[in-house]
Amino acid sequence: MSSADGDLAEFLRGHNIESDGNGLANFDWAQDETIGNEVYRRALALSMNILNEEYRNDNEASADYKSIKLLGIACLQLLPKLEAHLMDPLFRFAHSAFVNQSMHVGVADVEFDHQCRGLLLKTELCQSYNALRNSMNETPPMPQLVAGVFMIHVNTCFERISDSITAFKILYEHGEKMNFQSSESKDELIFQRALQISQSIRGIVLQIEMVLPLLQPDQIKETIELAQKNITSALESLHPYMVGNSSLTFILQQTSFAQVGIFFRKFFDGSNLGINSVQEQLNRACLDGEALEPQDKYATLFAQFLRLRFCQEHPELKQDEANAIHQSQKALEEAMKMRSYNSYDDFLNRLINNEPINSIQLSDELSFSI
Amino acid sequence: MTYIPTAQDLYWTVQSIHQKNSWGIPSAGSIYFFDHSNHRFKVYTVAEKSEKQMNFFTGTYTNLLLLGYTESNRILCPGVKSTKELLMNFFQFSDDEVERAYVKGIEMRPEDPRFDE
Repeated sequence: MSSADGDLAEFLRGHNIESDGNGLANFDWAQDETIGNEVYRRALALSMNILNEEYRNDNEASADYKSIKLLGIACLQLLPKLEAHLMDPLFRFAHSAFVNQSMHVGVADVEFDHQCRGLLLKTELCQSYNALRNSMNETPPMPQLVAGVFMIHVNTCFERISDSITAFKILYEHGEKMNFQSSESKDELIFQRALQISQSIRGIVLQIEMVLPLLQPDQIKETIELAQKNITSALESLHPYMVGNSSLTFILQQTSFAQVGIFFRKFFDGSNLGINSVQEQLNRACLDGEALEPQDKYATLFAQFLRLRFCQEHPELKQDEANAIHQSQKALEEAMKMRSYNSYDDFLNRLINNEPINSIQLSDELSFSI
Repeated sequence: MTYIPTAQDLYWTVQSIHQKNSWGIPSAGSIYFFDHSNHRFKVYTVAEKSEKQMNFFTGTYTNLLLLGYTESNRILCPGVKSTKELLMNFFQFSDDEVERAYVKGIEMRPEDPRFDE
Protein backbone atom coordinates (compact mmCIF):
# COMPACT_ATOMS: atom_id res chain seq x y z
CA MET A 1 0.00 0.00 0.00
CA SER A 2 1.44 3.38 -0.95
CA SER A 3 1.70 6.15 1.63
CA ALA A 4 -0.97 8.13 -0.24
CA ASP A 5 -3.36 5.18 0.13
CA GLY A 6 -2.43 4.89 3.80
CA ASP A 7 -3.37 8.51 4.21
CA LEU A 8 -6.64 7.86 2.41
CA ALA A 9 -7.64 4.94 4.64
CA GLU A 10 -6.73 6.98 7.71
CA PHE A 11 -8.61 10.02 6.42
CA LEU A 12 -11.78 7.98 5.81
CA ARG A 13 -11.59 6.16 9.12
CA GLY A 14 -10.75 9.37 11.01
CA HIS A 15 -13.91 11.04 9.74
CA ASN A 16 -16.14 8.03 10.29
CA ILE A 17 -16.65 7.46 6.57
CA GLU A 18 -17.28 3.74 6.59
CA SER A 19 -18.78 1.31 4.15
CA ASP A 20 -21.89 -0.74 4.72
CA GLY A 21 -22.25 -3.29 1.94
CA ASN A 22 -22.28 -1.23 -1.20
CA GLY A 23 -23.22 2.00 0.54
CA LEU A 24 -22.13 4.13 3.46
CA ALA A 25 -22.68 3.24 7.11
CA ASN A 26 -23.66 6.83 7.92
CA PHE A 27 -23.90 10.31 6.45
CA ASP A 28 -22.96 12.33 9.55
CA TRP A 29 -19.63 13.33 8.04
CA ALA A 30 -21.41 15.04 5.13
CA GLN A 31 -22.89 17.61 7.53
CA ASP A 32 -19.40 19.06 8.06
CA GLU A 33 -18.59 21.27 5.09
CA THR A 34 -14.83 21.04 5.67
CA ILE A 35 -14.88 17.25 5.53
CA GLY A 36 -17.17 17.32 2.50
CA ASN A 37 -14.78 19.67 0.70
CA GLU A 38 -11.83 17.43 1.52
CA VAL A 39 -13.67 14.32 0.24
CA TYR A 40 -14.46 16.17 -2.97
CA ARG A 41 -10.90 17.46 -3.35
CA ARG A 42 -9.28 14.08 -2.74
CA ALA A 43 -11.68 12.25 -5.05
CA LEU A 44 -11.18 14.64 -7.94
CA ALA A 45 -7.39 14.74 -7.44
CA LEU A 46 -7.23 10.95 -7.42
CA SER A 47 -9.50 10.80 -10.44
CA MET A 48 -7.11 13.06 -12.33
CA ASN A 49 -4.12 10.92 -11.30
CA ILE A 50 -5.85 7.74 -12.44
CA LEU A 51 -6.38 9.20 -15.90
CA ASN A 52 -2.57 9.05 -16.21
CA GLU A 53 -1.58 5.61 -17.52
CA GLU A 54 1.80 5.73 -15.76
CA TYR A 55 0.06 6.28 -12.41
CA ARG A 56 -2.22 3.32 -13.04
CA ASN A 57 0.66 1.04 -14.01
CA ASP A 58 2.74 2.09 -11.01
CA ASN A 59 -0.04 1.75 -8.44
CA GLU A 60 -2.41 -1.01 -9.56
CA ALA A 61 -0.58 -3.80 -7.74
CA SER A 62 -0.49 -1.96 -4.42
CA ALA A 63 -3.45 0.44 -4.37
CA ASP A 64 -5.87 0.28 -1.44
CA TYR A 65 -8.82 -0.49 -3.71
CA LYS A 66 -11.33 -0.67 -0.86
CA SER A 67 -10.55 2.87 0.30
CA ILE A 68 -10.59 4.18 -3.27
CA LYS A 69 -14.05 2.72 -3.87
CA LEU A 70 -15.27 4.07 -0.53
CA LEU A 71 -13.94 7.54 -1.37
CA GLY A 72 -15.81 7.38 -4.70
CA ILE A 73 -19.06 6.35 -3.00
CA ALA A 74 -18.67 9.13 -0.42
CA CYS A 75 -18.09 11.67 -3.17
CA LEU A 76 -21.21 10.46 -5.01
CA GLN A 77 -23.17 11.69 -1.97
CA LEU A 78 -21.85 15.19 -2.57
CA LEU A 79 -22.10 15.35 -6.35
CA PRO A 80 -25.28 16.25 -8.24
CA LYS A 81 -26.96 13.07 -9.61
CA LEU A 82 -25.99 13.86 -13.20
CA GLU A 83 -22.29 14.21 -12.32
CA ALA A 84 -21.83 10.67 -11.00
CA HIS A 85 -19.62 9.94 -14.01
CA LEU A 86 -16.83 12.00 -12.42
CA MET A 87 -16.22 9.03 -10.12
CA ASP A 88 -15.90 6.56 -13.01
CA PRO A 89 -12.05 6.56 -12.97
CA LEU A 90 -12.02 5.77 -9.23
CA PHE A 91 -14.39 2.81 -9.53
CA ARG A 92 -12.68 1.51 -12.68
CA PHE A 93 -9.23 1.70 -11.09
CA ALA A 94 -10.46 0.21 -7.80
CA HIS A 95 -11.94 -2.69 -9.77
CA SER A 96 -8.86 -3.37 -11.86
CA ALA A 97 -6.57 -3.09 -8.79
CA PHE A 98 -8.87 -5.53 -7.00
CA VAL A 99 -8.69 -8.06 -9.86
CA ASN A 100 -4.93 -7.62 -10.20
CA GLN A 101 -4.28 -8.15 -6.49
CA SER A 102 -6.78 -11.03 -6.26
CA MET A 103 -4.83 -12.82 -8.98
CA HIS A 104 -1.68 -12.52 -6.90
CA VAL A 105 -3.18 -13.78 -3.66
CA GLY A 106 -5.30 -16.43 -5.41
CA VAL A 107 -8.61 -15.48 -3.86
CA ALA A 108 -11.23 -12.85 -4.75
CA ASP A 109 -14.05 -11.14 -2.87
CA VAL A 110 -16.97 -11.81 -5.20
CA GLU A 111 -19.07 -9.13 -3.50
CA PHE A 112 -16.51 -6.45 -4.22
CA ASP A 113 -16.46 -7.47 -7.87
CA HIS A 114 -20.23 -7.17 -8.26
CA GLN A 115 -20.37 -3.95 -6.25
CA CYS A 116 -17.84 -2.38 -8.64
CA ARG A 117 -19.78 -3.62 -11.66
CA GLY A 118 -22.93 -1.97 -10.29
CA LEU A 119 -21.13 1.32 -9.64
CA LEU A 120 -19.60 1.27 -13.12
CA LEU A 121 -23.01 0.75 -14.71
CA LYS A 122 -24.18 3.89 -12.92
CA THR A 123 -21.19 6.00 -13.99
CA GLU A 124 -21.18 4.73 -17.59
CA LEU A 125 -24.87 5.49 -18.12
CA CYS A 126 -24.39 8.89 -16.54
CA GLN A 127 -21.34 9.64 -18.72
CA SER A 128 -23.23 8.74 -21.88
CA TYR A 129 -26.25 10.80 -20.80
CA ASN A 130 -24.01 13.79 -20.12
CA ALA A 131 -22.62 13.64 -23.65
CA LEU A 132 -26.20 13.66 -24.94
CA ARG A 133 -27.22 16.58 -22.72
CA ASN A 134 -24.12 18.57 -23.69
CA SER A 135 -25.01 18.11 -27.37
CA MET A 136 -28.41 19.64 -26.57
CA ASN A 137 -26.78 22.78 -25.17
CA GLU A 138 -25.00 23.76 -28.39
CA THR A 139 -25.70 27.28 -29.65
CA PRO A 140 -27.26 27.53 -32.16
CA PRO A 141 -29.20 24.28 -31.55
CA MET A 142 -28.04 21.41 -33.78
CA PRO A 143 -30.81 18.78 -33.96
CA GLN A 144 -28.81 16.51 -36.28
CA LEU A 145 -25.91 16.47 -33.82
CA VAL A 146 -28.27 15.68 -30.94
CA ALA A 147 -29.86 12.85 -32.94
CA GLY A 148 -26.42 11.43 -33.83
CA VAL A 149 -25.18 11.56 -30.24
CA PHE A 150 -28.46 10.04 -29.08
CA MET A 151 -28.02 7.03 -31.39
CA ILE A 152 -24.61 6.37 -29.78
CA HIS A 153 -26.16 6.90 -26.34
CA VAL A 154 -29.09 4.54 -26.88
CA ASN A 155 -26.78 1.81 -28.16
CA THR A 156 -24.46 2.30 -25.17
CA CYS A 157 -27.39 2.15 -22.75
CA PHE A 158 -28.82 -1.05 -24.13
CA GLU A 159 -25.36 -2.69 -24.20
CA ARG A 160 -24.84 -1.76 -20.56
CA ILE A 161 -28.34 -2.90 -19.58
CA SER A 162 -27.69 -6.19 -21.37
CA ASP A 163 -24.39 -6.60 -19.46
CA SER A 164 -26.23 -5.84 -16.27
CA ILE A 165 -28.88 -8.46 -16.99
CA THR A 166 -26.08 -10.99 -17.48
CA ALA A 167 -24.54 -9.98 -14.15
CA PHE A 168 -28.00 -10.32 -12.57
CA LYS A 169 -28.37 -13.83 -14.03
CA ILE A 170 -24.99 -14.88 -12.64
CA LEU A 171 -26.14 -13.88 -9.16
CA TYR A 172 -29.75 -15.03 -9.41
CA GLU A 173 -29.22 -18.35 -11.20
CA HIS A 174 -25.80 -19.31 -9.84
CA GLY A 175 -25.34 -17.21 -6.69
CA GLU A 176 -25.93 -20.22 -4.44
CA LYS A 177 -22.85 -21.86 -5.89
CA MET A 178 -20.65 -18.81 -5.47
CA ASN A 179 -18.55 -18.14 -2.42
CA PHE A 180 -20.44 -15.24 -0.82
CA GLN A 181 -19.75 -14.20 2.76
CA SER A 182 -23.45 -14.71 3.54
CA SER A 183 -26.67 -15.37 1.69
CA GLU A 184 -27.90 -11.96 2.92
CA SER A 185 -25.08 -10.19 1.12
CA LYS A 186 -25.85 -12.16 -2.05
CA ASP A 187 -29.56 -11.33 -1.77
CA GLU A 188 -28.79 -7.66 -1.24
CA LEU A 189 -26.62 -7.62 -4.39
CA ILE A 190 -29.37 -9.28 -6.43
CA PHE A 191 -31.90 -6.75 -5.10
CA GLN A 192 -29.65 -3.78 -5.88
CA ARG A 193 -28.95 -5.09 -9.37
CA ALA A 194 -32.65 -5.62 -10.12
CA LEU A 195 -33.42 -2.11 -8.90
CA GLN A 196 -30.65 -0.66 -11.01
CA ILE A 197 -31.88 -2.42 -14.16
CA SER A 198 -35.48 -1.28 -13.52
CA GLN A 199 -34.23 2.26 -13.04
CA SER A 200 -32.12 2.08 -16.22
CA ILE A 201 -35.13 0.95 -18.26
CA ARG A 202 -37.23 3.77 -16.77
CA GLY A 203 -34.47 6.24 -17.65
CA ILE A 204 -33.92 5.15 -21.23
CA VAL A 205 -37.65 5.27 -22.02
CA LEU A 206 -37.82 8.84 -20.64
CA GLN A 207 -34.76 9.74 -22.70
CA ILE A 208 -36.17 8.27 -25.92
CA GLU A 209 -39.37 10.27 -25.37
CA MET A 210 -37.25 13.41 -24.87
CA VAL A 211 -35.25 13.08 -28.09
CA LEU A 212 -37.78 11.38 -30.36
CA PRO A 213 -39.02 14.61 -32.05
CA LEU A 214 -35.47 15.22 -33.33
CA LEU A 215 -34.92 11.78 -34.86
CA GLN A 216 -35.13 10.86 -38.55
CA PRO A 217 -37.46 7.98 -39.55
CA ASP A 218 -34.56 5.50 -39.92
CA GLN A 219 -33.23 6.52 -36.50
CA ILE A 220 -36.68 6.05 -34.95
CA LYS A 221 -36.90 2.60 -36.54
CA GLU A 222 -33.48 1.60 -35.19
CA THR A 223 -34.30 2.96 -31.74
CA ILE A 224 -37.60 1.14 -31.48
CA GLU A 225 -36.07 -2.14 -32.66
CA LEU A 226 -33.36 -1.83 -30.03
CA ALA A 227 -35.91 -0.90 -27.37
CA GLN A 228 -38.29 -3.75 -28.19
CA LYS A 229 -35.55 -6.37 -28.20
CA ASN A 230 -33.65 -5.21 -25.13
CA ILE A 231 -36.49 -4.08 -22.88
CA THR A 232 -38.51 -7.22 -23.51
CA SER A 233 -35.51 -9.39 -22.79
CA ALA A 234 -34.64 -7.44 -19.62
CA LEU A 235 -38.19 -7.58 -18.24
CA GLU A 236 -38.42 -11.31 -19.01
CA SER A 237 -35.15 -11.99 -17.20
CA LEU A 238 -36.21 -9.98 -14.16
CA HIS A 239 -39.77 -11.36 -14.05
CA PRO A 240 -39.35 -14.42 -11.74
CA TYR A 241 -37.43 -12.35 -9.21
CA MET A 242 -39.51 -9.18 -9.29
CA VAL A 243 -42.86 -10.88 -9.00
CA GLY A 244 -42.01 -12.91 -5.94
CA ASN A 245 -39.47 -10.97 -3.93
CA SER A 246 -41.15 -8.02 -2.19
CA SER A 247 -43.87 -5.44 -2.58
CA LEU A 248 -41.24 -2.97 -3.79
CA THR A 249 -40.01 -5.21 -6.62
CA PHE A 250 -43.62 -6.01 -7.53
CA ILE A 251 -44.46 -2.28 -7.77
CA LEU A 252 -41.37 -1.58 -9.87
CA GLN A 253 -42.16 -4.45 -12.21
CA GLN A 254 -45.79 -3.42 -12.69
CA THR A 255 -44.67 0.19 -13.23
CA SER A 256 -42.17 -0.93 -15.89
CA PHE A 257 -44.90 -2.88 -17.68
CA ALA A 258 -47.18 0.18 -17.61
CA GLN A 259 -44.49 2.63 -18.76
CA VAL A 260 -43.31 0.38 -21.57
CA GLY A 261 -46.91 -0.35 -22.63
CA ILE A 262 -47.71 3.37 -22.84
CA PHE A 263 -44.47 4.00 -24.69
CA PHE A 264 -45.00 1.42 -27.41
CA ARG A 265 -48.69 2.27 -27.70
CA LYS A 266 -48.08 5.99 -28.06
CA PHE A 267 -45.23 6.01 -30.49
CA PHE A 268 -45.13 2.79 -32.38
CA ASP A 269 -47.02 -0.31 -33.37
CA GLY A 270 -48.60 -0.99 -30.00
CA SER A 271 -51.83 0.79 -30.87
CA ASN A 272 -53.61 -2.56 -30.69
CA LEU A 273 -52.98 -2.34 -26.93
CA GLY A 274 -56.34 -1.02 -25.70
CA ILE A 275 -56.60 2.09 -23.58
CA ASN A 276 -58.41 0.14 -20.89
CA SER A 277 -55.66 -2.52 -20.75
CA VAL A 278 -53.05 0.17 -20.18
CA GLN A 279 -55.25 1.83 -17.58
CA GLU A 280 -55.69 -1.49 -15.77
CA GLN A 281 -51.93 -2.02 -15.80
CA LEU A 282 -51.42 1.46 -14.36
CA ASN A 283 -53.96 0.72 -11.62
CA ARG A 284 -52.07 -2.49 -10.77
CA ALA A 285 -48.84 -0.49 -10.41
CA CYS A 286 -50.45 2.24 -8.25
CA LEU A 287 -51.82 -0.25 -5.68
CA ASP A 288 -54.24 2.42 -4.43
CA GLY A 289 -56.16 0.38 -1.90
CA GLU A 290 -53.18 -1.41 -0.37
CA ALA A 291 -51.78 -0.56 3.05
CA LEU A 292 -48.18 0.04 2.02
CA GLU A 293 -45.14 1.09 4.00
CA PRO A 294 -44.15 4.72 3.27
CA GLN A 295 -41.11 3.64 1.23
CA ASP A 296 -43.30 1.36 -0.90
CA LYS A 297 -45.83 4.17 -1.29
CA TYR A 298 -42.96 6.32 -2.53
CA ALA A 299 -42.23 3.68 -5.17
CA THR A 300 -45.78 4.09 -6.57
CA LEU A 301 -45.32 7.81 -7.28
CA PHE A 302 -43.95 7.27 -10.77
CA ALA A 303 -46.94 5.05 -11.60
CA GLN A 304 -49.24 7.75 -10.19
CA PHE A 305 -47.58 10.26 -12.49
CA LEU A 306 -47.91 7.95 -15.52
CA ARG A 307 -51.59 7.25 -14.78
CA LEU A 308 -52.58 10.87 -14.36
CA ARG A 309 -50.72 11.88 -17.51
CA PHE A 310 -52.31 8.99 -19.42
CA CYS A 311 -55.81 10.00 -18.25
CA GLN A 312 -55.23 13.58 -19.35
CA GLU A 313 -53.94 12.53 -22.74
CA HIS A 314 -57.00 10.38 -23.49
CA PRO A 315 -60.45 12.04 -23.43
CA GLU A 316 -62.00 8.56 -23.10
CA LEU A 317 -60.56 8.43 -19.59
CA LYS A 318 -61.93 11.80 -18.48
CA GLN A 319 -64.16 10.09 -15.90
CA ASP A 320 -61.06 8.51 -14.29
CA GLU A 321 -59.09 11.72 -13.96
CA ALA A 322 -60.63 12.94 -10.69
CA ASN A 323 -59.84 9.65 -8.99
CA ALA A 324 -56.30 9.66 -10.42
CA ILE A 325 -55.77 13.15 -8.99
CA HIS A 326 -57.20 12.15 -5.60
CA GLN A 327 -55.08 8.99 -5.43
CA SER A 328 -51.90 10.80 -6.46
CA GLN A 329 -52.43 13.42 -3.73
CA LYS A 330 -53.05 10.65 -1.21
CA ALA A 331 -49.91 8.82 -2.34
CA LEU A 332 -47.86 12.01 -1.98
CA GLU A 333 -49.15 12.42 1.59
CA GLU A 334 -48.40 8.83 2.56
CA ALA A 335 -45.07 8.39 0.76
CA MET A 336 -41.71 8.64 2.46
CA LYS A 337 -40.07 11.92 1.52
CA MET A 338 -36.96 10.38 0.06
CA ARG A 339 -34.73 10.71 -3.03
CA SER A 340 -36.79 12.24 -5.87
CA TYR A 341 -39.90 12.97 -3.78
CA ASN A 342 -39.75 16.70 -4.52
CA SER A 343 -39.61 16.00 -8.26
CA TYR A 344 -42.67 13.73 -8.11
CA ASP A 345 -44.48 16.32 -6.00
CA ASP A 346 -43.66 19.00 -8.56
CA PHE A 347 -44.57 16.92 -11.65
CA LEU A 348 -47.83 15.62 -10.17
CA ASN A 349 -48.92 19.09 -9.11
CA ARG A 350 -48.17 20.45 -12.55
CA LEU A 351 -50.40 17.79 -14.08
CA ILE A 352 -53.12 18.57 -11.53
CA ASN A 353 -52.89 22.28 -12.39
CA ASN A 354 -52.70 21.63 -16.14
CA GLU A 355 -49.24 23.15 -16.39
CA PRO A 356 -46.82 21.92 -19.07
CA ILE A 357 -44.01 19.53 -18.20
CA ASN A 358 -40.67 19.81 -19.92
CA SER A 359 -39.50 16.38 -21.15
CA ILE A 360 -35.86 17.38 -20.58
CA GLN A 361 -36.51 18.19 -16.93
CA LEU A 362 -38.50 14.98 -16.56
CA SER A 363 -35.61 12.97 -17.97
CA ASP A 364 -32.95 14.81 -15.94
CA GLU A 365 -34.78 14.38 -12.65
CA LEU A 366 -36.15 10.86 -12.97
CA SER A 367 -33.67 8.97 -15.17
CA PHE A 368 -31.20 8.16 -12.43
CA SER A 369 -33.29 7.69 -9.33
CA ILE A 370 -36.11 5.32 -8.51
CA MET B 1 -2.89 -4.28 -18.35
CA THR B 2 -5.03 -6.42 -16.06
CA TYR B 3 -7.63 -8.60 -17.76
CA ILE B 4 -11.10 -7.66 -16.47
CA PRO B 5 -13.74 -10.20 -17.49
CA THR B 6 -17.08 -8.95 -18.74
CA ALA B 7 -20.30 -10.23 -17.15
CA GLN B 8 -20.73 -12.31 -20.31
CA ASP B 9 -17.31 -13.94 -19.75
CA LEU B 10 -18.25 -14.83 -16.18
CA TYR B 11 -21.69 -16.12 -17.14
CA TRP B 12 -20.20 -18.30 -19.87
CA THR B 13 -17.64 -19.68 -17.41
CA VAL B 14 -20.17 -20.45 -14.69
CA GLN B 15 -22.33 -22.26 -17.24
CA SER B 16 -19.29 -24.15 -18.57
CA ILE B 17 -18.30 -25.56 -15.18
CA HIS B 18 -21.84 -26.09 -13.93
CA GLN B 19 -22.32 -29.78 -13.04
CA LYS B 20 -18.89 -30.68 -14.40
CA ASN B 21 -16.04 -32.14 -12.38
CA SER B 22 -13.43 -31.43 -15.01
CA TRP B 23 -12.96 -28.80 -17.67
CA GLY B 24 -10.31 -29.07 -20.38
CA ILE B 25 -9.38 -25.92 -22.25
CA PRO B 26 -7.17 -26.60 -25.31
CA SER B 27 -6.52 -22.89 -25.96
CA ALA B 28 -5.23 -22.50 -22.38
CA GLY B 29 -3.22 -25.76 -22.32
CA SER B 30 -5.00 -26.66 -19.09
CA ILE B 31 -7.41 -29.05 -17.42
CA TYR B 32 -9.29 -27.98 -14.30
CA PHE B 33 -10.74 -30.37 -11.69
CA PHE B 34 -13.45 -28.99 -9.39
CA ASP B 35 -14.51 -29.57 -5.84
CA HIS B 36 -17.69 -27.52 -6.19
CA SER B 37 -18.92 -27.94 -2.63
CA ASN B 38 -15.77 -26.29 -1.29
CA HIS B 39 -15.37 -23.83 -4.18
CA ARG B 40 -11.91 -25.15 -4.99
CA PHE B 41 -10.11 -26.43 -8.03
CA LYS B 42 -6.82 -27.99 -9.00
CA VAL B 43 -5.34 -27.47 -12.41
CA TYR B 44 -3.02 -29.49 -14.64
CA THR B 45 -1.33 -27.15 -17.03
CA VAL B 46 1.35 -27.16 -19.71
CA ALA B 47 4.55 -26.08 -17.96
CA GLU B 48 5.94 -23.94 -20.74
CA LYS B 49 2.96 -22.13 -22.19
CA SER B 50 2.89 -20.20 -25.41
CA GLU B 51 1.81 -16.56 -25.17
CA LYS B 52 -1.66 -17.51 -26.42
CA GLN B 53 -1.97 -20.32 -23.86
CA MET B 54 -0.80 -17.99 -21.10
CA ASN B 55 -3.40 -15.37 -22.06
CA PHE B 56 -6.24 -17.89 -22.10
CA PHE B 57 -5.03 -19.50 -18.88
CA THR B 58 -4.94 -16.11 -17.13
CA GLY B 59 -8.43 -15.38 -18.42
CA THR B 60 -10.03 -18.61 -17.24
CA TYR B 61 -8.16 -18.50 -13.93
CA THR B 62 -9.35 -14.94 -13.28
CA ASN B 63 -12.92 -15.86 -14.19
CA LEU B 64 -12.89 -18.74 -11.72
CA LEU B 65 -11.51 -16.54 -8.92
CA LEU B 66 -14.26 -13.99 -9.56
CA LEU B 67 -16.85 -16.75 -9.33
CA GLY B 68 -15.59 -17.46 -5.82
CA TYR B 69 -13.30 -20.43 -6.52
CA THR B 70 -9.78 -20.79 -5.14
CA GLU B 71 -6.92 -22.91 -6.39
CA SER B 72 -5.96 -25.84 -4.18
CA ASN B 73 -3.18 -27.22 -6.34
CA ARG B 74 -1.38 -26.46 -9.60
CA ILE B 75 0.43 -29.26 -11.41
CA LEU B 76 2.86 -27.97 -14.00
CA CYS B 77 3.29 -30.70 -16.63
CA PRO B 78 6.71 -30.70 -18.29
CA GLY B 79 7.43 -32.04 -21.77
CA VAL B 80 4.01 -31.35 -23.26
CA LYS B 81 2.85 -28.50 -25.45
CA SER B 82 -0.89 -28.99 -25.69
CA THR B 83 -3.92 -30.23 -23.80
CA LYS B 84 -4.01 -33.24 -26.14
CA GLU B 85 -0.44 -34.23 -25.18
CA LEU B 86 -1.28 -33.52 -21.56
CA LEU B 87 -4.25 -35.91 -21.69
CA MET B 88 -2.23 -38.60 -23.47
CA ASN B 89 0.94 -38.36 -21.36
CA PHE B 90 -0.52 -37.68 -17.91
CA PHE B 91 -3.96 -39.32 -18.11
CA GLN B 92 -3.19 -42.11 -20.61
CA PHE B 93 -5.92 -41.04 -23.04
CA SER B 94 -5.85 -42.70 -26.48
CA ASP B 95 -6.20 -40.68 -29.69
CA ASP B 96 -9.85 -41.75 -29.91
CA GLU B 97 -10.57 -40.79 -26.32
CA VAL B 98 -9.04 -37.36 -26.85
CA GLU B 99 -11.14 -36.90 -29.99
CA ARG B 100 -14.32 -37.94 -28.16
CA ALA B 101 -13.52 -35.64 -25.24
CA TYR B 102 -12.96 -32.77 -27.65
CA VAL B 103 -16.26 -33.37 -29.50
CA LYS B 104 -18.14 -33.73 -26.21
CA GLY B 105 -16.61 -30.46 -25.01
CA ILE B 106 -17.83 -28.66 -28.13
CA GLU B 107 -21.31 -30.18 -27.77
CA MET B 108 -21.59 -29.22 -24.12
CA ARG B 109 -20.23 -25.71 -24.59
CA PRO B 110 -22.80 -23.10 -23.49
CA GLU B 111 -24.28 -21.00 -26.26
CA ASP B 112 -22.60 -17.68 -26.81
CA PRO B 113 -23.05 -15.52 -29.93
CA ARG B 114 -19.32 -14.76 -29.82
CA PHE B 115 -18.58 -18.38 -30.73
CA ASP B 116 -21.15 -18.64 -33.51
CA GLU B 117 -18.71 -17.90 -36.33
